[in-house]
Amino acid sequence: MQLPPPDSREMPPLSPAVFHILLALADGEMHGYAIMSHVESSTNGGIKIGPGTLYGNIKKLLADKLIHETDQRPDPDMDDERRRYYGLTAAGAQVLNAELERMRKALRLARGKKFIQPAGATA
Amino acid sequence: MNKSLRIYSWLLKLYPRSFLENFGTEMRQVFQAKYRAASRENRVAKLWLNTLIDLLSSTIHEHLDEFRTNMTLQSLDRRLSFGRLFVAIALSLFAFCVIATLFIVPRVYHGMTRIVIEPVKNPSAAAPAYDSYVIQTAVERIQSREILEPVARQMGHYKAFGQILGKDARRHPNEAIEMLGKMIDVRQIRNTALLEIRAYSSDPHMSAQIANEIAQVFKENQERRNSIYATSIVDLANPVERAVRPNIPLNVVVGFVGSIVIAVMLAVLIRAVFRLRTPVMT
Repeated sequence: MQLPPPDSREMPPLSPAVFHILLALADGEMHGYAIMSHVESSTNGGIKIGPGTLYGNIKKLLADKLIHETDQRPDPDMDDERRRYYGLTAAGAQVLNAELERMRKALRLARGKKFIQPAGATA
Repeated sequence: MNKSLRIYSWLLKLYPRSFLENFGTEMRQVFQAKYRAASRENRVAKLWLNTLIDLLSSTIHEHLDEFRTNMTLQSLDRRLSFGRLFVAIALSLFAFCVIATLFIVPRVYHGMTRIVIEPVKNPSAAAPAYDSYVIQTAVERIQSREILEPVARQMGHYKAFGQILGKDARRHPNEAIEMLGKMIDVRQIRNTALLEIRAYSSDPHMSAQIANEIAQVFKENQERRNSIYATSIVDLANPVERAVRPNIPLNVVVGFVGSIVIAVMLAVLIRAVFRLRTPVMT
């Protein structure tokens, strides 16, 4: 599936895996296993991405230039040189922001319907 | 560890070659790291379960993606040679045939009761020992409403019969009689006064019961008529556990031959379509 241009306002929602991969890379450049661990820990184990799903999405994101492969390594002495690191591109950041904005609007709409309690409110 | 990694490395071959060349090493590294973490927490079985689910869904996805992006008419033409097409079609058809025969086609069992129609032992009666008209009349009468109605009424008490009919047979006698008529076959044994009453259903016990019930009702009917011919039951039907349909060996042989014939025809047709549509390079 080809992702739409990042500036598209009619962008369809990202899949949970793509969204969480982009969100993980928003914290900095990471290798595949770090991305998987980050997604799992940040969702308290709610979302687990297997190697096939991870690299299938990385392939698409690289093709769509939403992420890039980087040569810089955080600690070249400590790291396995076969590992590849990935980082968010400007277009990727734009897509992630657009998705977060879409979520924010949906959340505001749901709160307007009193469907969701505002944060901090008790039942 | 080494064994799990070897199995995973072997399973990675299920991915398209280009995907594997690009990400295979990293995927192995990721699996290795996850395996170490899972071993520490005694979660190896769960890791394998999640890995296999991920592998299944992602390999299908990657192959479809590869097909969508790389397949052109020319590349398909190169890949789908006559031999490959033939083998793929023949194997698929044969597998379908075997699976359908073994698991999909419903089993049909038959029960068979034999009766004989002979003249009443009366020296003054002028009835011949064997009269083909009498036998033919009996064949038709057995399949008539006169006989089937009391049998259908009797069978209406059995839940299995109602299940086959899809409704209560006692409340829908006409439909029960019609169905009963379709479930039976009456044949004369050549040049004898013997008749075979065969009943077919998905339940061997019910098949035997129907055949026996029809024979009994016909016998009583003949006795009430004071016919100069008497009916005796020679053999009662017993439930036979071996299904008469489908004939598994026959279906497999026919399926094998049919698959080869159809595969040849389809492969020739597909190759002909490719030849027509693929531009010839000059």
